[in-house]
Amino acid sequence: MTNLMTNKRGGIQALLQGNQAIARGALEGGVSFCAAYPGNPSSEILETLAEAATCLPIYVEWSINEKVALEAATAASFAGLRAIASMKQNGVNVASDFLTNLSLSGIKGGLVLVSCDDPGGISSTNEEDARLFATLADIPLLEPSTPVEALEMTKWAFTLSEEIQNIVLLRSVSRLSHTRSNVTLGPLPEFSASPRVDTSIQFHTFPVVPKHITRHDKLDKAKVLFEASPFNQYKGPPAPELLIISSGCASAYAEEAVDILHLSENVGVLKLATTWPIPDNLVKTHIQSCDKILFLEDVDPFIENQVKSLAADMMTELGIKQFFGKASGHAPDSGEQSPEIILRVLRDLFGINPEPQNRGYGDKKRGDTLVPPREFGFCPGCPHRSSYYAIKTALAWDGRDGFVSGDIGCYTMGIWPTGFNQVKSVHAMGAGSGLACGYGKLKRFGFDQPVVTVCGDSTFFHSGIPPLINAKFNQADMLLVILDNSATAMTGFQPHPGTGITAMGEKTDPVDIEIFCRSLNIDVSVADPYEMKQTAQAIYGLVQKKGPRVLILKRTCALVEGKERGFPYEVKVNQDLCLGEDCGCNRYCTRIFRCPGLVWDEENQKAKIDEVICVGCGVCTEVCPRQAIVKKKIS
Amino acid sequence: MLQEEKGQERLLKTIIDAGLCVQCGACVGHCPYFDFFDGRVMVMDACRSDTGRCADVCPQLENEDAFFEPPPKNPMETVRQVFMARAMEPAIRDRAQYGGIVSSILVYALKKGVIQSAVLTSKGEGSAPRGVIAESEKDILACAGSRYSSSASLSAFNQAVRENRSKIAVAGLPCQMKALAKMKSLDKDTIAKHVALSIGLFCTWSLSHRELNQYLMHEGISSGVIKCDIPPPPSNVFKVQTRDGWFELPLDKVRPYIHRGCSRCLDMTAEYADISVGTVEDKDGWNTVITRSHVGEDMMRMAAKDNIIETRELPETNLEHLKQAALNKKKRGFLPG
Amino acid sequence: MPLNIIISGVGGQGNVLASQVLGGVASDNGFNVTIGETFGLSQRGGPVMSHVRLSKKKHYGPLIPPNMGHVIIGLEPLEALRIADDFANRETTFIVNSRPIFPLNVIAGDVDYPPPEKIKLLLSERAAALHWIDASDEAIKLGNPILMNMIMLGAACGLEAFPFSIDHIKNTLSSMFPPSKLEINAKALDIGLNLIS
Repeated sequence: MTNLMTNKRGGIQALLQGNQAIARGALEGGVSFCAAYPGNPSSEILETLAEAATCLPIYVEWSINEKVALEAATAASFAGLRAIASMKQNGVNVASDFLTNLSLSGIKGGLVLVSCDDPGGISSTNEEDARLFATLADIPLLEPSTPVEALEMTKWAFTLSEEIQNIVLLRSVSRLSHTRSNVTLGPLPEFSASPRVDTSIQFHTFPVVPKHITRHDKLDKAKVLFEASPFNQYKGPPAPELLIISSGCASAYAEEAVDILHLSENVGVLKLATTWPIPDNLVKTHIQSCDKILFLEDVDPFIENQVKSLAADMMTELGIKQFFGKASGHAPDSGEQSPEIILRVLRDLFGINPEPQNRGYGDKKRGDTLVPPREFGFCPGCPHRSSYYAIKTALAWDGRDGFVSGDIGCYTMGIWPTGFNQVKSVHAMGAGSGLACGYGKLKRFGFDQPVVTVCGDSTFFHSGIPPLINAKFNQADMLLVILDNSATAMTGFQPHPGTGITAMGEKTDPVDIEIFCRSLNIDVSVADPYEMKQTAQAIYGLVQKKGPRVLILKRTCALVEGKERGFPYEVKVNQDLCLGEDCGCNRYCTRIFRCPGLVWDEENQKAKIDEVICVGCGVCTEVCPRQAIVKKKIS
Repeated sequence: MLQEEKGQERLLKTIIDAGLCVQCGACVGHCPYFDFFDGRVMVMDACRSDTGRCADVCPQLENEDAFFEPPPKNPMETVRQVFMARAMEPAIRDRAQYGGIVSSILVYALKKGVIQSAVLTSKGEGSAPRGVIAESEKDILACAGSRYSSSASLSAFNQAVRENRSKIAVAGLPCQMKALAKMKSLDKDTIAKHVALSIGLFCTWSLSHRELNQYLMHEGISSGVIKCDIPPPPSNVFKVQTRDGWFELPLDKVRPYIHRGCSRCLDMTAEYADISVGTVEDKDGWNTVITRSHVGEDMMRMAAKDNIIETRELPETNLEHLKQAALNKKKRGFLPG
Repeated sequence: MPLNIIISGVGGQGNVLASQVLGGVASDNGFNVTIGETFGLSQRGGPVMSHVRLSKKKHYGPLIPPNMGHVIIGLEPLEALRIADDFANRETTFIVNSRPIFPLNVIAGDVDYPPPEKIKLLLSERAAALHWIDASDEAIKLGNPILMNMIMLGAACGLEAFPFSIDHIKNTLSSMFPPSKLEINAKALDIGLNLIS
């Protein structure tokens, strides 16, 4: 992939993922500075740029969180360089305070913010429409719908940004970021960066109101450019019976649905790619010639509301229109758009019955086909499984209905049986600790439930530090368990301040979490989560104490450990000792501990180790009530 | 009474979640679903099995049917002999709370080879008392003295069984003797054969260690309990010895930490033991002893013959008071709530 | 109408790589390719589904419309069954690897994994043809279970509905893999093709 990304001449075709196309588009657009924080579905953008940085004179970094990422990228822009910051929708929330001020102060070098949203929350805690930040911050919004467009529009975004002198928001979704398509590469420009901050310009936001007016003027400038943009395309008859206005992947689904239903004479699809500010005239031209308009987009009725508002303003000119979309209930107002949904809407609107060949498939419901869902779980050897087992044991010993305040990472799965259902709340990065500050002051009202807060090492650096300091400052009874597996595992093992290496592969002095916490002069201890009984005893003891306390459970992520060092044991189940489903056990290891390496031998009705999956960590030997699981050290 | 749940589910619903557990420990140590930690028996996970030894051996489970039974004729149930006794060995008497009978009989039985180990309750020494397997005279004497809070010591019995021990002695509270009796009747081939001697202690109620500890800390008594004592009426105090010395607390302040399950118990004199041992009112330094089986009777006779213990007739008034006290506990236990 | 191929499996089976190879082959042979990937927590035991859409005329959207799958390659039996109702039709050809990957909830005894005979029956009811092949077993014989995905691709070449030959795939592989890896992957493709004929 590096060869492809750093190919200077271009003109070749490649199968690129949406995110790779965005990265290539940034390079073709002359980017010099790239910053991001990992987050699915955005992570591949910076990963691709980081690989390219080994051959091209660009700078790429994983920042500690999205706010700093955007700020760092902006500095490059202030110094006249082209810069990009990429993140998932929740990252834009984190960066938003800076964003809404930045759009007032303006920028210098072209600056692009890429938000990769996750409609349907396939790998997120929520589904959120980051396009709304464009309206909030008064900045132009670009919505590519294919990898080809992703490349072209990212490239153009830098030019647009410099022309209007403001940051541009480019919005992708999981379905685009992870879709591959053949894309033709363009040439790379000559990289010539000579950064300088022009101190005769002031990048601040005062006075606010005049700068707000200027910001609107910049938007108007963008709108003029949008009216002429080749990325907005119409396909269909000149005066359709139904006009579909769509953006993103919904456009492709809509076009295909029109073909499938043989409605190409009746339905036109206006694919918008520049969606804030809406190119009024373009839209007006199309809605003028039809009475029924259907909106298809992910996630919120963003375009829908704008066009309705436009139509209301122009009602005397345009007449009354009928709108179908999320407000009318024709399109779902939650979840991802799909061909199935769009076919259904069009069939409804045109009174078309489903194809005969498809009858019979709808009848065969899921329940009939007995397909169990696939439960998610921690990898074999994962230290989080052991950590949660220790927490579960300690809280059960305590008996006061304690619970875990959760956070974001692989360990979020503590909400499921793989983490013994210990985690009772998960929201945003660092929120588990923030909540703990509150729980930690409820004692005066009679609250006595022990609360254990968990936080990963990367999450701790991102936004777990301020709440810990808050707990110290406000003397909250907070027990923070930092699950330090030396990795940002869930998103793909990107480096962070504790790992000792940067995005570009340079060695760096790692930030030691233990030393940092001790500097706050609070109760700090360290334990090995693989030693589950000892860890449980430590947690039990800590739960009885007051004030801020930190327990660092230190054990490398099993996937990393497996690759770098391997595991020391060969593990086997002695089936003569195994009680199986008998009273005294009832499959405790497979049913409760639930490591994928420990499976059920249906034939012998006993537990057994799956040698292909088991990594040899040996932790499960502690779990068997008859010590039937044995580990042997391998040389 | 229709019972839909079985096994652990039944135990959970009728006893544990209803707050009626008396921490005897019969359910602990046989499977990973129960545990005893810091003075409390806890349910660790749902077992979801239909069968369940735990429900079969719980001494509290039978009590639900209690008020269908007619009141007994002899409030102390099966009695072969009742008398007073005390240890002859001064070293044992010195360490004893009262007559030292339990320790001296156990040491004697060990020396004679009648038993090879004894399941007893540790002193605690600052942390919660718990079950231990004593294998020597030293071990046995280390456990001498009364505990007023439950130790779930039958968990140590379960451990002894798993370790394939035989000739085991068990000393414990009436609920524990009942649980042991249930275990023996369920498992005639192993458990019944391996229990050589059971010694039950008279008991009116037992405290929850963890809650008692919290109360003590609240009263400023922070270093752990070494010994407890409740002097006889009219004294109404609860005495606690820690490393910092003896403290006295109003008995009424301690009563809230009695196990709720104790209020349903009908057995003051450990009716299921081979030998039952208690105090003698107004006579320091002596134990009341009841033998209930030929094992118990033989053991006491041999010990007397070998001059290990000294015995005397129990005065009539003492016997009457004892019967009355036993009957009172049954009356209290019959009335639910 | 584009050619719609679905590759369905569990995280870690090489689904994404297989779809990339297929996409590369198609691209090398003049097709417009769109590959839509659906993976959430796939590394942590979840399902992965790739929709591969091929057309000489234009690029299609990344999701195949309901019941319009032409070829469904199931790297795992349960995952083939899971998507059957949504994407198969009476003309679909299924090619399914026989070796199950038991989900955690099955291992834990909470739910049952449908017996293979039942899965075969249900899939046959929903398709024109079902090929049930022991690709994992062959991969293990070859020396690495991960080669299963290549064996499946090779087997797919033996299907009428599949527009590419073994040679097409081998050609593309030579530009995707280093020479050290080529031989074993080519062998895997051949073994797969044999399993069909």
